[in-house]
Amino acid sequence: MTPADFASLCVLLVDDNRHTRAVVRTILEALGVTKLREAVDGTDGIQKFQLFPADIIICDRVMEPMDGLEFVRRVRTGNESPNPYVPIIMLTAHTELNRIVEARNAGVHEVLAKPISAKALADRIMTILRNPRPFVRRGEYFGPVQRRDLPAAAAGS
Amino acid sequence: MVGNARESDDDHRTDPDAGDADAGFDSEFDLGALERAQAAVDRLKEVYIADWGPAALADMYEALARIGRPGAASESSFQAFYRLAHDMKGQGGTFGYPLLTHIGEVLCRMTADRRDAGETEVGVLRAHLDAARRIMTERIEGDGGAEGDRLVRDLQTLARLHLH
Repeated sequence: MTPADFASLCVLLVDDNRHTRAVVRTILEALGVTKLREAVDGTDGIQKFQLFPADIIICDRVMEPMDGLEFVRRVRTGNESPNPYVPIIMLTAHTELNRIVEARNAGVHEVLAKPISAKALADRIMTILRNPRPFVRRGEYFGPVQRRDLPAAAAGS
Repeated sequence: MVGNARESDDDHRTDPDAGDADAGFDSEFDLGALERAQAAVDRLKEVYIADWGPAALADMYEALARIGRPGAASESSFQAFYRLAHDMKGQGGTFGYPLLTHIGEVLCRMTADRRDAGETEVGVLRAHLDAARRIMTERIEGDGGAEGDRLVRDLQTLARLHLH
């Protein structure tokens, strides 16, 4: 994967902390991303997403007034969402198992624990791009099939 | 569009734009780009420790003052403090200061879903902020060696003595 490959990506970054946005933007730009939009919270994220055809969304979990979990649910199931299938990476400093499960159950593709490193972020993006997952609706859940539900070969790939 | 969903047996909806996500991507990662990206983050380290970190810490002291004011503590005061602690937890390690991440984590645990705090608890919170200030002022990177061990041990002792 090269900077030229990343240059084709449209990335929407949703985080209410400008310093964290600066870190993620710095990494993405160094990796070659040129089409990047930023949103300052979940509400702004929904509005920006309606105008910007993001291939990947990177969002924080702890935000106000709309937090990351609600933002993800709105992207997946909200009437205003232009693309409920968009891959989503959630940034979080909460690494407890129940918090990870909450994020998965909201419909994220990948969780990236803070502290953030260039390699970890690049790895998450590559995982999404190289291993697209089918979507499923089960009860109130709509989102990517979770890895535990994938055949072993696919889950491990 | 890149990296979208494909049809699933369980799926009731499929993405009409779904395509071959691997198309156009090389099999090997560009390690040079990765190194440049991490170097760019490392260049922000100085900005963090000289500007962003101390500014956020000042906000935390202010939030703590509101928490500690008799009769003034509120859920929103704790939420403001918690959010700043959460940012410290996430950013400290990103910039090579994992001791700040440790302190942020402790502060998050102490203030999550809280509405009030006694004088002793406020004192313990303040001691953690003082330790964070020292880490920033003295630029104690990494685990801080013996000094870092002592700092963490002192905070743990303080919390154990006063909060249990």
